[in-house]
Amino acid sequence: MINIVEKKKIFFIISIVLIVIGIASMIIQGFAMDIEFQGGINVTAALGQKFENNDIEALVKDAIGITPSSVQKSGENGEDVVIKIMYQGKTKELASADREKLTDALIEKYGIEADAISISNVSATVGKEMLQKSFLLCLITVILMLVYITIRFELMSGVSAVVALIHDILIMLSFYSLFQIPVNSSFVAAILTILGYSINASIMVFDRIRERRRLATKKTVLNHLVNESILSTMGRSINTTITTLLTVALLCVFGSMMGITSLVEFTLPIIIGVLAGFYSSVFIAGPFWAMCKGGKNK
Amino acid sequence: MKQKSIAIFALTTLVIFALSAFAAFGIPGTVPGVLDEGNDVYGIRQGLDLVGGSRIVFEAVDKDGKSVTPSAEEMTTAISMLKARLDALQYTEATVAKQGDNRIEVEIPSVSDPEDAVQKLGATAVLTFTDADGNVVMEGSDVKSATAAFGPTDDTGVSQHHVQLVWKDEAVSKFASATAAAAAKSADNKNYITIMLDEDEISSPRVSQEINSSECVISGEFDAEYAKYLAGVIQAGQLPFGLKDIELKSVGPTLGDRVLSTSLIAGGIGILLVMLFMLLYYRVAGLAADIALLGYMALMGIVMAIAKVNLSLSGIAGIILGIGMAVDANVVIYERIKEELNNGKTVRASVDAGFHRALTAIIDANITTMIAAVVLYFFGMGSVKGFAITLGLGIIVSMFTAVVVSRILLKQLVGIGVSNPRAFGAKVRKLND
Repeated sequence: MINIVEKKKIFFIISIVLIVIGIASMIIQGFAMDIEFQGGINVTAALGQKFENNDIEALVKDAIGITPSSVQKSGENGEDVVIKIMYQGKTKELASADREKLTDALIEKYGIEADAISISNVSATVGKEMLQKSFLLCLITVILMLVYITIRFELMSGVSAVVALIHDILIMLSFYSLFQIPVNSSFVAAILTILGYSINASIMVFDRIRERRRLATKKTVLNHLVNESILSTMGRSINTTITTLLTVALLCVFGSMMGITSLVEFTLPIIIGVLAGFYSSVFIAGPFWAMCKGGKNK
Repeated sequence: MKQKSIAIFALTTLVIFALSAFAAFGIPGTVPGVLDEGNDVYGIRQGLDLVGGSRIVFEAVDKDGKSVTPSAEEMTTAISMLKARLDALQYTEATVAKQGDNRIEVEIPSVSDPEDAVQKLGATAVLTFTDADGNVVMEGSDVKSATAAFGPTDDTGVSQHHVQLVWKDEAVSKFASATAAAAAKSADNKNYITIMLDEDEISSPRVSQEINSSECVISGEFDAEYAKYLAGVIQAGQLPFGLKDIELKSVGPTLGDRVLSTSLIAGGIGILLVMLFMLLYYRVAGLAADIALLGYMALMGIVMAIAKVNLSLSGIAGIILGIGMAVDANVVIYERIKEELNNGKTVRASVDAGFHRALTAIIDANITTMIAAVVLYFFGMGSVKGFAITLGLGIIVSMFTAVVVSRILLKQLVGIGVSNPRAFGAKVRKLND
């Protein structure tokens, strides 16, 4: 039988290394904030013909080297286009050279007049305080969860579940920072999804520990009890991870097949979070609890 | 006994199929399917990011309709006013951005009447307080802030919706002398002040004494919506410019054309694979879980349509987590049943014990997640709220389908005569054979 609790150091070290790399990335390169938080350039053009969003995306990328944040069809027949670009220049205004390249490219490809195109800068639509507020809400939520778990289980179970939760969120944030996945308003939803998923997984483990402790005698070795609890939930942990991943992964695969970047950028961090949730509920939550209890039962 | 079980199983399954058909297609000609173009009463509202909506560009103009360039602070005030109005009109996921120096672009999810939305968003109103002889004593520019409130406004103590005005510091003495002057006219029965909005009289309260206060209440049988609207237009009346809509166009989804159809197809295939997995792994029990999952999706769709939930990408995350938790509940129960079977219990006893022993964990897990949904619903904004609603509804519905419905189904399967542990995916044969 595998002894997860005995080998806890290995599992802890793997997580710590990953998180340290992630935090280093957060400090060095930070997060890529999306246009909602930064503001940027708004290009509207009456193309007078049907077009493919992907073509526009490629055209903008070729012209000025930036992938637009969004391309929307507009107007009654969908023959106008609204392009939003996050511009990384010193000022938020589009440099005149880039402005020219972009209008020229549109004129050449769609044979329109220059006055069919208008370019303006737009402000952020969501203030950064939205992220701060969301963070505060997560904190309140986690504290309330801790209170509930302490009432239904005991304090250390709650603390261990929260440690596993923070682990998962940190792994996810590391992923966002390392791969510079744009942080937009769906980001908050992705984080919250993993918050719910992670706490759910930990509770399943602590439910088994709670049950086994009721039957425990003075001779019961706590490490052994925890290990058995983890192994008895293994079937559940693996199957639930598989079933959750099936839907999310398909969204991701289809998104990338259809060239819908936003869908990929949304689902990829969730996939990472679900995997982290599996890892932490199996290898972190229980062993951490056993470590804090110092091997003593009751 | 066997016939009864077959009947209950068939009936439950039939009800779930009927619910699924209703959710997907509605009743032709009467009720639309949950994802069809809903009416105002029923239907899931689809967010700006998934299906697009209307894009409105407002420009700052002076009284004569000529475009002006206000200061940055004034534009910020105008933007927050628009945001407040969008919230009041329940476009919680709308976006507002400053464009250039004197324009504001607003994107709202598809609405039946965008023209009406434009009207309500761009409206400003001039507030005046006049005395009995028609002289203007106070104006909109004297107002520091106007907020909608609910509470008692007079001695009767009856709560009502009203607008709370706060005067600018320099206007307090003006208000005091105006009220003193009005109170002095009680002999002629002219001791009232009329509150006008544009050309409309809102109310004419009696004034019995000088009011030396920075606050003032406007009341008059308002409902909550009107009080909010009124506060909004009064607030806007302070702006030294008006907002004129210069562009109203429909726009496609911000996440791209095919995001909704792709998500639906991918999600559908994903759920089919989940069902297949459950069937292969848990066999007969998996069948019960699959039917329950179908019921979950149908009920979820209907509940979301009734609640007119605004579905955006964030909402989809809530749904994914909801499905995950619904399937998880069944996985937890079935793993317990397998353990009981492996311990040598009969199928009937194992099913009972499995449900019983899994229940505490499922309830604890769901309540913990519900805490998150409740906190986020009450304090979150925009897309976070959408996530919280789908998650919260998902937990309630999944507790019903994954625990109650799947239990009914599984009990009937046992009643029909499924007694081989292998039918539940258990590997070890009964020890007491």
